[in-house]
Amino acid sequence: MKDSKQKQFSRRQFLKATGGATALAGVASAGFIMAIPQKSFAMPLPKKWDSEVDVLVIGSGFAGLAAGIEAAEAGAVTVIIDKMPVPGGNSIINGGLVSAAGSPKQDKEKINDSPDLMYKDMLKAGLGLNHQALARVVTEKSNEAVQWTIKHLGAQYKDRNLHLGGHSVPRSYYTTNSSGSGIVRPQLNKVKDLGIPLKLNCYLEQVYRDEDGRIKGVNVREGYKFLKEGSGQSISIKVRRGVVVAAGGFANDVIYRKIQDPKVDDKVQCTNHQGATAECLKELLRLHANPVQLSWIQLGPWSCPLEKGMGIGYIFAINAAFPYGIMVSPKTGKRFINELADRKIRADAIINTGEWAVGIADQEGVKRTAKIDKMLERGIVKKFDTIEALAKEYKINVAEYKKTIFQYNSFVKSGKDTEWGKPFQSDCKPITTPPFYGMYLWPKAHHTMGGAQINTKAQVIDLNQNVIPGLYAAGEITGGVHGAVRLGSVAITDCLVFGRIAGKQVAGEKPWA
Amino acid sequence: MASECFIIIKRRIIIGLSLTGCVSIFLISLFYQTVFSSDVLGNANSLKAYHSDAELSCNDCHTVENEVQNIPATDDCLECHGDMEAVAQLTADKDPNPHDSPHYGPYLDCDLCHHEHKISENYCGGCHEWVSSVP
Repeated sequence: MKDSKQKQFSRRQFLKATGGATALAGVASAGFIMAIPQKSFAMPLPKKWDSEVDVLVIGSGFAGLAAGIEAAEAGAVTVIIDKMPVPGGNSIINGGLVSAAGSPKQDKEKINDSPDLMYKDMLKAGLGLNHQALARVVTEKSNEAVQWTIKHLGAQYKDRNLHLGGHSVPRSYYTTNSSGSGIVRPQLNKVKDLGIPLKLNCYLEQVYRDEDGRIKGVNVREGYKFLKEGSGQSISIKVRRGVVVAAGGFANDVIYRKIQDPKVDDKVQCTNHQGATAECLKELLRLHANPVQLSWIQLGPWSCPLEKGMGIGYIFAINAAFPYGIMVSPKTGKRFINELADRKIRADAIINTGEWAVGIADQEGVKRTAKIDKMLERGIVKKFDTIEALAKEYKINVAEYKKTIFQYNSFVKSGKDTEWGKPFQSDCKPITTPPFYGMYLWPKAHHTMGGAQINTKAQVIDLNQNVIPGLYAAGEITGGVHGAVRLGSVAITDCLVFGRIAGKQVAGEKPWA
Repeated sequence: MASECFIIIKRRIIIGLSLTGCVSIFLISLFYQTVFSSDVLGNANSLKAYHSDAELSCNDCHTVENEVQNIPATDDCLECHGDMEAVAQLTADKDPNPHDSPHYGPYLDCDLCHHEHKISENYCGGCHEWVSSVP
């Protein structure tokens, strides 16, 4: 860090002392490879600031609140802002599963786990695209972070660990109320106890990065009404130590996500809250933060297009249709993927068929499915006396579909899916027992893996691999931790670990004024 | 000649009718805009029945003098309605209870859903289908 500052300093002096052309030649010969002109991010600072803080945190989800709490506890005058009229972003509507490797709960259940094993699981799912140092930090501090939510914040978890897809062992804590709010609300209580102002309806307009490269303040709109551009009143805030950007992912920003992955277009719905949009990420890019893997947008393959958001249909998919039934494409009447492959593989396969898939299970298959009555009542799942009636409703190629079921049932009987390699659970039975249940499946955008590059101190890294002084980021807005595919329940761990690191680090920054 | 006259008259009638049509569509749309547009709702002085029955005046909610535009804060609502936990109790028999969200608990601002001078909305509807009429 010291080195990079010195480099920037000497280069700037050099540019001042020489003409542009010779400067460029000099830069090239000094070994700076195609350096982006540093000053294009700079904006004149306001002559007079409207207010002043040590630390400004943008976003009030897991990461932002963790950063705010740590910064305030380290003595920094801290303010948290959120553009939405409610706190908590996606975190407060999240499913409340958080992984911890080597936890007391695992000790109690005699589960042998370690940060190293969790790291290996993450890299396997992430196709090795993970930034290894960041993934290491998340795994090594995972247990510490979860224990912090219990001991320091008073979060409550259910008794048992959950074993989620892609994890080698059960390692996910599950909040008592089955929601991320089981962590966010204790965080909000702590924020209140510490007297940290949490300003809702407060929209980040612009971050001031000065000519010397340092972050110096922000412009925000107070009294902003979500989606009403230009609403509220613009004020400037001088930020003495640093800005933490923890504004979340962009899965609900159709235009931006479609640019990154054209398959994730406006036909694809989203499990996220409405505010999961890209403007803060774009502001980071304007400040020359380095983008990492923005195209890796995780879709959930378990969702039903007939309901909004996460909904409840996924419960039928993950408990009945995928493990005990089949998924077919109506056009062909055929299966097209292992129904228990990872999220990415299944979601891509559905999209590639070009039409809503149909998840099917029989009465045996739905035995373990909660809320099936509610799904039937809402018309998300439908029930039929015969497989032909089901085919008619979903306009499935009935001749092929009958062959598919016949063939699948023979796989179940033999215990081996020679077509798609689905692993059969020991209690899996052929699809024969009426009534039969069907549900449309179409993936929904769920998590944006990519984002701004950070280092292990949560400092934002610029296009030339230098630290941007005074700028931190944590959580879904950053990229690299999860690589290509995020494992379920590691998002909260990531947010808590890097949120806390960002808070501690930014509080230790030397004030610029 | 007679037939030509007839055609002219017919044209005039058509034009006349079209003009009347345009004017009436304009007037109807103006009426709808004025009365039903969520931002205008006719007169800003209108109160919903439960508040007019309680004989509230503007100043009961708009507490800052000469600042009719200022939007009452949730605390202003709670002056009469009790604290947020108490409000949640009022609808405790509903499933889900709109005043006690699994995500936010009872701590949401009233004006996310309830509007006095325009049609109320269901904030939960941003993510959930279940329809709940909001007074």
